[in-house]
Amino acid sequence: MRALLRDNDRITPFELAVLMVIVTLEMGVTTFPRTMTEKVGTESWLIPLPGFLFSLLAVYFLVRLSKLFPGKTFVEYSQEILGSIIGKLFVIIVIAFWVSTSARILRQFADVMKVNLLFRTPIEVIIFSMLLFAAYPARYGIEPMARLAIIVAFVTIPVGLFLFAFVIPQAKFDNLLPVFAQGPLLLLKAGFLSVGSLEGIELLLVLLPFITQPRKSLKASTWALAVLWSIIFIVNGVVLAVFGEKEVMYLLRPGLTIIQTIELPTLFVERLSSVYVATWVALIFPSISMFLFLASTSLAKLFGLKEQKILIYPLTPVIFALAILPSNVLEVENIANFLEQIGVFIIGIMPLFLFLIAKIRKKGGSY
Amino acid sequence: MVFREWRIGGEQGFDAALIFVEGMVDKTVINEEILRPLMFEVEETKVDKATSNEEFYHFILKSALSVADIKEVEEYDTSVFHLMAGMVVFLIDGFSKAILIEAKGWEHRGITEPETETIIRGPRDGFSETLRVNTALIRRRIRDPNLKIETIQIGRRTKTDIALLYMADIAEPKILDDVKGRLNDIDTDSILESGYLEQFIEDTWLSPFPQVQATERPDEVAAGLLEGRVGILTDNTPFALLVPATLNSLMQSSEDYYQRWLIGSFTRLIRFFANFLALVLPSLYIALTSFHPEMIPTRLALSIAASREGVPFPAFMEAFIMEGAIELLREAGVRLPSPIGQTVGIVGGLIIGEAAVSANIVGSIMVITVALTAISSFAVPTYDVAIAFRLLRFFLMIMATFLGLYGIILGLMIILSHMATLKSFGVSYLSPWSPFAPSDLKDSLIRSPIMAMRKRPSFMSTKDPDRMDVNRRDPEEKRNGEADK
Repeated sequence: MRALLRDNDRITPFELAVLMVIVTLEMGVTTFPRTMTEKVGTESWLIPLPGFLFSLLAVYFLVRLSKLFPGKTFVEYSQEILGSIIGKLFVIIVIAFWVSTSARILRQFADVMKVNLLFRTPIEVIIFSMLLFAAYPARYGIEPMARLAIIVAFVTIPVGLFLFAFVIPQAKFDNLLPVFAQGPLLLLKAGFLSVGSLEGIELLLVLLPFITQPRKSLKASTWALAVLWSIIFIVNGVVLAVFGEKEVMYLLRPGLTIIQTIELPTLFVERLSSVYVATWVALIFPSISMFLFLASTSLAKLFGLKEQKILIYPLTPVIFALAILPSNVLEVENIANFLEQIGVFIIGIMPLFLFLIAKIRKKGGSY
Repeated sequence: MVFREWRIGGEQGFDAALIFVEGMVDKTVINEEILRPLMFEVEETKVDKATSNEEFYHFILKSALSVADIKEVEEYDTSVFHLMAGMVVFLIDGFSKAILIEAKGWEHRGITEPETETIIRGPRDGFSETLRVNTALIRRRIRDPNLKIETIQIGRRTKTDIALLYMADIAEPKILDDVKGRLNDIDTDSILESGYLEQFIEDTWLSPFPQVQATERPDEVAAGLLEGRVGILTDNTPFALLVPATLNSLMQSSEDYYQRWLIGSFTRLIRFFANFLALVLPSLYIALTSFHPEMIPTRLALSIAASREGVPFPAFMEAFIMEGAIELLREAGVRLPSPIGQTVGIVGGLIIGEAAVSANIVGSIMVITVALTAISSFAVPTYDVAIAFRLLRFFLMIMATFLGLYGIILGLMIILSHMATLKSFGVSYLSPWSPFAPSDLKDSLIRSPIMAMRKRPSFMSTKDPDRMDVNRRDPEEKRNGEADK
């Protein structure tokens, strides 16, 4: 065990970028086309433009904050900036957000599994098994998770995009019109709100002190955002072009339904959507373990504990209970919408707010 | 143990004794090169009465023995240790020193072709059980004074010779120190095979994966040394160890480099694919037939259903019966003498498979699955890795039994997470894919042209990173350029 546990708290900027992409690509991406179209209609495929700008701003302020407080995570610096009590409150809100977000993802994932792959398996079993296994890498720290994320990214993202290529012949690009009919303000607002569903950005709250070359972290996160928004752009655009505005709003998960429209009877596997759903297992796994890691690390820092891994198994029953709490899909979706707003508060508003207060109160190093 | 006593130098001489262990020394050396000169030639040179005892001793030591390697020791324990290792101890009455004479010679197996790692193109010599023969096999391949061989003894009782091999100007000192440190930490009474060492020095015993590469091929060890790895040779076994080991290095065969790069790359891709099949095929059968029949194309689904008609067991029982039978066959085949082993293979594979299908115990698709799995697992070049994946196959079959395709992917994710946590002497097990090192990908899933591999693997952080002049022109390009003139 000697060498197993040494140097496992450092990741490269490239690994940070991959983690950001992998953590963001969770079940929320399949509902994205619907929630966006509900907000801005046919212009939803344009949201990646303002979305990229707003998320870049959030990333920029998070990196600046980390430069002001080198070697410190948000748990320490938010207490320094906002004072002990309000700072702790903020940290607790963020931890609660991570716990409930992983519960939300697990629940959405279990629902999808039940509908598509495991028709007779209780969702409790699906949620429990995923949670149990995802806790394993979270115990070993950030480095193994980064390693895992790289392999997952290289395998699943090409497979997912490859499957999407089969849909393109059905696309009717008239469905993408009209654009700019409602003025730019609505689009900007939707872009700002969409930042709340990019959970990957929250990694920067905790992980920035663990980067081997901190100078490159802004560049790496920008790349991660560019890749993410391109994926969302492709998914959104294709889904909207295939289904059209009206139909997209009626579908629970347009990003999933679209794969079910493919039929390729000559292939060795008949139902491509099952393969697609199976790749989601691989995409969810690192997200859940990452949230477990983030929550346990922040909790350990908040309570001044040295080891984060003893907190992981105590967290799992909480997440499990939260995940089985909603009684139906509609409730889950309402919770998801609520959590997205909290996400906007955490990554859309707080970084700028914290940065300004730090500047006004002259806290932190002089960068 | 043989004691040979006589009087040296006639009447005025001294009592002397030769002590050696029967069977570990070369008798002709003792008769011709030690006893003959000491008994007759010392007599003939007529030791002068005037010569002092000291001078007489020096004469014996310097001029009388026609053997290449002799040394003096004063401690009793040291001489006993060397006696046990096959040296001849020569004692002269009146002198508090023992002369150790190297006359080792014992029966040993010659150099034969390695049986566990056969290749089509490449050298046919494999390691044997004698340490010195094995180090010579490496020396013959790398004629560089920077190839260092350090010998240590491990094992309280066996005192086994362990040779540590490394390239002094390539190997990363941290890795080297780590290896030395772990070897020195070993406290045991016996090292009977390099497998003992492997288990003592590996990073974690809580893993099905080998974290040390064992090989019988000297060319493989030489290639490893040139990549900056450290070789460990153990006396009395043909299996050498190479550290650090990564999954990538364990999936390679030395033949990949002897074939042209396209062929080498193709066989590597086949191998990775085979490894994947060996891991997931039976569990996919279970998952698809019992959880997701809708994923199988309709006609295939119908023929699977037809073949399983009358089979009284659920798919997972079917799979466990057949996989269990194949494991039995494999183990039986290994233990039996080779001609009978092959017969067992034929009897088991063909007859039981055929009979099981006609007796409606398993479906014929299941037999095909099991056969494909077995063939695939033979395509993995390292036995240790193949056996690890064989073990994990059963884990995945259990996962598939309970959770179908979801279980398989979850199982694969946990295996991957485990590999991500693994390290071998500070090097990540999944290098070069993760941590991602684009320049090392040239020698992973594919084996790029030998001219393109100008650097040693970067994850080994070698002292001398270049294999060849990085700025050198491609020889092919150069030849064409000359032709144009």
